[in-house]
Amino acid sequence: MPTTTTSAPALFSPEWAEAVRDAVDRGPSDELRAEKLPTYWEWIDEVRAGYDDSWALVDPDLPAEFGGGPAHLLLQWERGRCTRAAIVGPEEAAGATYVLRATHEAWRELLDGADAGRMLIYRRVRLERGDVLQFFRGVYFVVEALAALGRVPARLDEVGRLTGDRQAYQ
Amino acid sequence: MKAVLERGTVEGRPHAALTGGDGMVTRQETVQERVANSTLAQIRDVDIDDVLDYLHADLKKLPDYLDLYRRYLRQRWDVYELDFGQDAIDWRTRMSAEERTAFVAISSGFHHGERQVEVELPVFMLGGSEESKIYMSSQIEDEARHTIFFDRFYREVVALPGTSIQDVLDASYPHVSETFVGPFGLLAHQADELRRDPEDPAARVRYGTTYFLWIEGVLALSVMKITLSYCRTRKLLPAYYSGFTATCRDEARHVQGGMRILRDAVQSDPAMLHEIHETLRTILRMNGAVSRRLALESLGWTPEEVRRLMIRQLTMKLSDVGIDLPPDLREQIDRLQPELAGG
Repeated sequence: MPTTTTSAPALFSPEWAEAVRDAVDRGPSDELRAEKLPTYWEWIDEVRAGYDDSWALVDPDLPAEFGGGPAHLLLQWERGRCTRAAIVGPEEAAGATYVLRATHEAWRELLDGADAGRMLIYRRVRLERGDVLQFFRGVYFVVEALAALGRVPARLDEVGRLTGDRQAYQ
Repeated sequence: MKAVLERGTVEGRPHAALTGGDGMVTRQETVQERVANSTLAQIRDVDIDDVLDYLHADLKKLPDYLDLYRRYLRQRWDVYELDFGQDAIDWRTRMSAEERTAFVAISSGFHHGERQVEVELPVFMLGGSEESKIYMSSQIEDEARHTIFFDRFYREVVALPGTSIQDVLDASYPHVSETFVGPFGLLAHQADELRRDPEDPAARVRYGTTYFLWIEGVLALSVMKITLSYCRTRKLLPAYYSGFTATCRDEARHVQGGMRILRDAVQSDPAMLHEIHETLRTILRMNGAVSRRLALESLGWTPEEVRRLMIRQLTMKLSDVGIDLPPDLREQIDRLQPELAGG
């Protein structure tokens, strides 16, 4: 279900960043958790418990009316809690443990409900910087956080709606 | 008993058979020759266990790349020769809803896995010796053919909708476990690492450990054993059985070539063993998550049997090519879960 509305905060705005922080910190609802086996969530909970890394999520071609690209959302994790979400500049983003990059079209797909795991497989969301092996030791946690981010309402363009055209994955 | 090499023909094809001093042909050699030389039509009568034995028989000596390429030229099969007509009838009339669900769940990972290994392999071919590049070109073609095999199976037997290959992939994706992103997302991003420097030996070893050892050597062979045993026991899905057994024979070359890459890399630089270990630590760490329960019992397997099968597939390859493991990795292997995502 698309999560974009005209009243929602703009993608890569400070309001949206805070809403993302709240969503990824809360994690999925009981209803969503029930869709997968408990062992899957237990794995994520275990990874998350001691998680202290930071993620910079990049949109290289954010439309000019939203400030233009590249735009960077920094999410800081401390002992499993998302303690900070901020729109930052490229220098601060470069210092994140992991830098994940997605085209603006890919951001649209994510907010339109595309499968976050599949986007990673097809490199629609790409780990641009960071240790690949270490990153994948927490991969299902990252995927579920990206899915939670995708459920946060956001305004993507001046008309505030998605094109509705599903992009080919590769 | 003294072994003697004799030469002759089997159904018009040259073969070599080991005989004992009493002139009796040993069964093992005969079966391996049969696996190696079967046409697509003949491979229908080959047992998956014999293909797995055939794969492991060469692991200790590991053929060189041009031997594998020549074998590819002999064993190449035409995916469009398969007739899925009887399979479609079996699917509709002889398999229960539970069996179909389990079969699709386990096969969908393979459907997407074949596509994934096909598109991620060309970057690996950019590095290595000229001989390995020639061989890799054949493996890329194999993987593309396997993708078509599953595309045809899902269209013509399972009756998934779609006009393009992507359409059918999209239609089968809901059956793929969420944990598929573990090994296959890892492979995609290891391919990205290689793209920056295809000759980077450490990146090649990490990629090779995920692709050749885990995805092909463990996940793929385990799924093959499970689904093909089911088809053979129940006498179902003859075209699937033929095509997938031929696919397994192709995988024998892939695993042997892949294990050669890893063994040679470690022999050339023992520090590469660390890269194999670190990659295995990541893979085995991811293996602990299971998001969906597969009804393996409906295909004749218990989760514990699958777990033991996976452990056996992994440890056989490691020991055959002389890759030692530290205690923490041995413990991780002991705790392996029967998670076949991406098979």
